[in-house]
Amino acid sequence: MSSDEQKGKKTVSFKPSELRLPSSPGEEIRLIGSKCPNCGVVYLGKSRFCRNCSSRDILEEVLGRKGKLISYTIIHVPPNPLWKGPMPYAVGRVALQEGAEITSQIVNCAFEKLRVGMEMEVIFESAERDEEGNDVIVYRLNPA
Amino acid sequence: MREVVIIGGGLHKFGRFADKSFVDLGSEAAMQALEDAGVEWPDIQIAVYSHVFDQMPSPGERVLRELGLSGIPIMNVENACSAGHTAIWLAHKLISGGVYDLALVAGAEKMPRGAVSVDRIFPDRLLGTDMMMGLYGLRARKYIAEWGAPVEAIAQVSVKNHRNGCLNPDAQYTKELTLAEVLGSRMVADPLTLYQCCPTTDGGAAVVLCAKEVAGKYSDRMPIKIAASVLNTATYKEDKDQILEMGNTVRAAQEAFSQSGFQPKDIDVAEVHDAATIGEIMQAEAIGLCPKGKGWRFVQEGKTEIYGQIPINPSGGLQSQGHPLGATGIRQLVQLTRQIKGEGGRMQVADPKIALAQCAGAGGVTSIHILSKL
Repeated sequence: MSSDEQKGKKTVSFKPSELRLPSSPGEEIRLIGSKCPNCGVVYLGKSRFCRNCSSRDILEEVLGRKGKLISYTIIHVPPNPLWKGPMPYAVGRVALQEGAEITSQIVNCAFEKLRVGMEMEVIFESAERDEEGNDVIVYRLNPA
Repeated sequence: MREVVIIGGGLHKFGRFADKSFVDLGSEAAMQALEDAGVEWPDIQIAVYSHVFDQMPSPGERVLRELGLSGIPIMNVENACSAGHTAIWLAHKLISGGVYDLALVAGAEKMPRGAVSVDRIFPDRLLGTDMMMGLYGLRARKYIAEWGAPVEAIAQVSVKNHRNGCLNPDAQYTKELTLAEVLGSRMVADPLTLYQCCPTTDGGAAVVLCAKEVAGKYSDRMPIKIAASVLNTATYKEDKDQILEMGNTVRAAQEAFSQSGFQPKDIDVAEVHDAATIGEIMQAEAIGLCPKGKGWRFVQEGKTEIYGQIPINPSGGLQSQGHPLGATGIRQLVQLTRQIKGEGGRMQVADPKIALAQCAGAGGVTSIHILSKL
């Protein structure tokens, strides 16, 4: 166990319907999506009804972390008063290999190296400590 | 279904009014609309009020009690940037369906200054994606990559709309901007600079709607027909592809042209949702006012100017007038009604007979109205 866990502090997902933390040692953080056996769509996030055809037979699908950059922008104004990230920062939308799309901050890349269509991967990192001192884990985008 | 006409419209100037409440803004617009229609408030049978930001419970009732407590049903509508169109759409349905003959639709907004506060529990704030201009920035970058449009062509929308705004006494900003000034203003969501993003604004707008068959009973003013009234939300696929294409605007336009019997080439003047410069281009393409991927060329070639082939946002649009969310859609119809009546003042387009208004906003909502001479 880490020292944080020993003190009762832990990691939490910023959005459990899209990002699942390991439930046992050796498991990885997973990007959670949905796949519809009825119409075939795959998208980010677990849902009870298919967002395309409303089928109740929608299945949970663990999504891969690789994809292509659909588009990006560099944002120069704070998106909200609680933003603790860098300014300016990049945001991108990525088409994952399974067909789902994901939008988040792009990290670890100089702005001028960003290109529409470039290969990207999803990474997981801590965004902040919540009121109880837990690490809040989010997904971000990284050049592959 | 009965035909519905607009018999009057009114505006409260758009801008910043620290000393005025939404009640002042909305009631002023409502009074002007009634006066323009030649209708007395006690004759109005139903009122619909649109707003987006939290005002207080029953804001429409508070605005309209300034005109007297006449006892009619008053409804309040919130629907992001399409709130004003949604209120008109609802009143149109109630009149065309025969429930009421005469309706007032009003909208007003006092926009918060500075950064809009975000609920701490909204998780996407940690991704930095909870910003409307960020979405438009993604669209602009994709549009440039897809169609080879230069950033100058996109920025030209702001130059055009700010020039048009100088002709509009109700606009928030009446100052011409050069292309260099637009491109040189500080960056907001690259490639979109500050002067390519609409300002936040206070303002009010109102229209009086009537069943055409009884319009002469209530008003002696020239009625303008609502030839189409369409409201929709994005389907799964349209929502997924929203960076590349305004899919539900395409569908709303198809429905609007089907309702009206007109075609895109019949439109003489349009007010299109230019929350960002790229928005005007992509929405105009989606409506069919210009070919897909060529909207930027239309702007560069002057085809969307007041004197052009298809004038878009002769009022100055959201870019120069500002965007009081609940009032914007109604404002479009007030100004297009004036255009068709030849009362556009210095904004007047040459003899328009058919006009189109379009708004779209958060949550995937899109709305279109087509107006025409009877």
